[in-house]
Amino acid sequence: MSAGKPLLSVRALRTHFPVSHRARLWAKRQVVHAVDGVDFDIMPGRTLGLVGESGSGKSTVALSILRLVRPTAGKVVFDGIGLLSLPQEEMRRLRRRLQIIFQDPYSSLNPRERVGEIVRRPLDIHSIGSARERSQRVDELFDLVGLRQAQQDLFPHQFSGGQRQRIAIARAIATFPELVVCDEPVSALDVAIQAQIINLLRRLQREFGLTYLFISHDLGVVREMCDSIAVMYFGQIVEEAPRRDLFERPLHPYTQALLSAVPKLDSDDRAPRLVLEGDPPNPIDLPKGCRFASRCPMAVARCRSEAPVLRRFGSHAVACHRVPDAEVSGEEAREFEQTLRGLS
Amino acid sequence: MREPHPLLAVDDLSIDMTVARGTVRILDGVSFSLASGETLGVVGESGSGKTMTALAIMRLLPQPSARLGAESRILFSGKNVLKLDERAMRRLRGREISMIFQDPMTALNPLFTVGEQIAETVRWHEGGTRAAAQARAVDMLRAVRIPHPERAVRSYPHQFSGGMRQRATIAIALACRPKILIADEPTTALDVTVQAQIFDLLEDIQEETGTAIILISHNLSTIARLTRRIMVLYGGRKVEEGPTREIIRNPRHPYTEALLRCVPGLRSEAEHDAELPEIPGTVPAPEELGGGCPFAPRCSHAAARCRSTMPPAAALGEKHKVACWLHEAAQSAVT
Amino acid sequence: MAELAVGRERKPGSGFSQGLRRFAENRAALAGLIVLLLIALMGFIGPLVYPVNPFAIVATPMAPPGDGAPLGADYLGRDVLAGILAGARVSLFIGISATFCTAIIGTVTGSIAGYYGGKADTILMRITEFFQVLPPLLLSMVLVTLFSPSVLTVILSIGLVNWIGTARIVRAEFLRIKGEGYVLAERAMGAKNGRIIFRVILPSALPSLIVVTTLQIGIAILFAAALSFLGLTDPNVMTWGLMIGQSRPFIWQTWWAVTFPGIAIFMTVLSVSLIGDGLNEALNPRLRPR
Repeated sequence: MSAGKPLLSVRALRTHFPVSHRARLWAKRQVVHAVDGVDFDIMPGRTLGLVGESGSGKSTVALSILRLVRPTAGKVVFDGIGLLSLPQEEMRRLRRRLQIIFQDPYSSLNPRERVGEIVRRPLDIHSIGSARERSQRVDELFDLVGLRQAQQDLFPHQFSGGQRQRIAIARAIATFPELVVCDEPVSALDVAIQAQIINLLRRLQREFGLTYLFISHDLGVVREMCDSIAVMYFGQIVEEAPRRDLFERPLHPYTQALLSAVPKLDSDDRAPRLVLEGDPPNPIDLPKGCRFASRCPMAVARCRSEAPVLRRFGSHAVACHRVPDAEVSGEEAREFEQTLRGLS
Repeated sequence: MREPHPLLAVDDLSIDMTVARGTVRILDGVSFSLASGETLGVVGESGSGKTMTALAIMRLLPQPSARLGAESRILFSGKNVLKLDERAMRRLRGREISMIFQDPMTALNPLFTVGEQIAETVRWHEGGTRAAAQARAVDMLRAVRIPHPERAVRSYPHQFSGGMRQRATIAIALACRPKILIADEPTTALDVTVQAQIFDLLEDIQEETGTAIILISHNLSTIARLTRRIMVLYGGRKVEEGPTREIIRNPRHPYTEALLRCVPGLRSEAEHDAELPEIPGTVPAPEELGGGCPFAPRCSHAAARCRSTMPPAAALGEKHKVACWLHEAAQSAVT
Repeated sequence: MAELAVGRERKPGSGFSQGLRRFAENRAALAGLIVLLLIALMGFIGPLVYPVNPFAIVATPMAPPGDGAPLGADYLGRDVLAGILAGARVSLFIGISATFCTAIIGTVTGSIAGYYGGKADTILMRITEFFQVLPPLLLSMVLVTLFSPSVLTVILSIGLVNWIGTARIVRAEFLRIKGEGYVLAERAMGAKNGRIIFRVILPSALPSLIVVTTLQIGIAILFAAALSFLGLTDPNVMTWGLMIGQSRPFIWQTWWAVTFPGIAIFMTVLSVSLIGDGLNEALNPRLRPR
């Protein structure tokens, strides 16, 4: 499970959207760089967290990987299959192996359908099993996500938000997918319910060896769910690291700001916090330097003129001019040196 | 009651709601008070009655489906708000008590500039010239730390980001220097870094103006830093109330304790592989509530008595109160 | 947040049964439905109860009401009541059939344009606009003249010029529903486009489609009346428009031969409109009080 090939590889993914309304008739067509060069791998059975604020492009990454929006460029390889060049019908059939859970459990379930039908739907679409086997599978799924089988005849509006998200999860795992993209699955829920859903997702992962791409703006939730975490800012990954590393030694100033904004329980905690000033850049007209420079407390002239690239030190990667190579921990520095020696 | 008239005293507030199958009690005998300049946190999940409490203070409960209980009293500076006529109430709203909501877009009119909306509030309550109101609008935008306030007054809500919009609604809410600001999940729809900025802003404003704040949230941890005192609602009942620090360090009601433990991301790395503590089950619908403690069906300490009789509030210290049979001993010691 | 929990209780069990109940509570719409049913009954049972040939000369020419014919006779001595009874069936038949055509053309165009968007949308919407700028009555007159007047050509010509409204509404509904999370979820599950269009989006768009189609029936009946008023109809089929058109020169001598068919057209179109408005109020979620 540890070594070996990643289940999902994303390389140089770019998704640009044209801005629909033009200010003037002959004005140059403008584009929003929603995702602008993103790379990552997810190993089978692991969870990668994609963290960022609104406008960071994290949800667009999810939709691009699943081809629910058309990426502009890049490569998405799932289990050795290049998804972006796959013919439509083959992609459709492959969808039983890649599923998604959306943020809003109120809109992602069809209000006109009984929840039993909703959970059964993917089995019907991919013609899995006989009618009887499908019903049995639906019963089983209801048990798995902690709902009563008798509730299958009810409509979505008869459930609370947390229960609806359980229904969405049951639907997502119905076809035994390998990869489940979770797009902010607990953000619309009360904290007390968040814990239940997090535990459910973790239990399902253990039981079925699921691989998750977990998208969230909430670092607390990401910490409970993920093995490694990538932080996005305006379409790019600015830092990526294993969970413990990222929380204990965040390198990018943006990651540090995000972490310090996470509420702590102790009301005596008056530790100086890094509160961001300034405005985020205009997504249509991005600066040529570092995109975080306008809000960064550490920005220098170079940050405004030259875009930093993601530098990788062992398992920790960061895109910031202000992080010197020496910032990297001893162990990682050694690893880094070994890699260098291996190359020469 | 330490002082003769606290700024706000809510006394035995009950709300009945008409639903398809009859009438249900969605809030039952909630009492609390708020001193001027104080920040009170109100914590509860969906269905706990926290928003209804706020709407009752504003006298904005959905009509005609919601009815107040006969004994309910809401005293603002000693006057019973529930007895005021609609005209007097309109003068109170916005001028003495203001409210901001989770979604800033619902509170802003997309057809008017932000400046016009602030100025309108000022002129409605205080009169004065257009120019004076406009100048106040600029001041307010500056007070909520919106950059280039002179330019921002002429902007429309859609030209603002989510955080800026919430600042604008705060500016409108505070334009007439109200004595109380009720903030219902003011940062739930915002990004974490913006959330921190808004909380800092509320804290600064309170220091500058002495406005009392009622901060409502489903997440105890987000409002812990800003409040000195917290009230926990569950199933339309007040289950615990006390100083924030004491409640966080030593929660006495099983619900409060469970709520604190289930917040994601606060555990150490060593605990990571264990299950996150959770509260089993779901919040009961109002019609499912019997006469007992509303938390009893999900409570690991529940006994037969919990299911049949609602425990009275027991005082556990000067300011710490809890409604749970586990603390009956404390109750008898006080009375 | 308590309103969420309570709101859960108040939500309707199923859109249509709730809609029907709201419709039944709407008095104007109910009155429209009763009038329309009476007209339909008149059209189908009337000729059996009152078996007079509408083309036969059965009374003195220009006989006033009561004098040999209950509602009078026209300039040739044909019975006006017989004409109205015969015309009811034809009017309803043409109205419903023509609307069926508009509903089919409009739904196909609107759903393809709304679902696929892009080029398909642009091309179909240009075609729609082409039809929109042509005066519809003139166009159907030309069509009927080109293909010799008969009930079938009248139906097709009305159907062919009136589908634009349906297409626009269906397209708008598709655009709206396509953006719903559950449609995205269907795509993510790997559902085929046909399934998404027919089993997911169309059922959600049905209330609006029903409303616009009902209102179209009234328009189609008016069109049929106008065409036959102008003589562009099968001369061997009695219609209300034909009656008015033929008696027009004698309007001062035989007011009854023009007025009673006119009232019949008015009552039919009004009742259909009332039903349409009632359905709109009952089924359109945006008009519903919360």
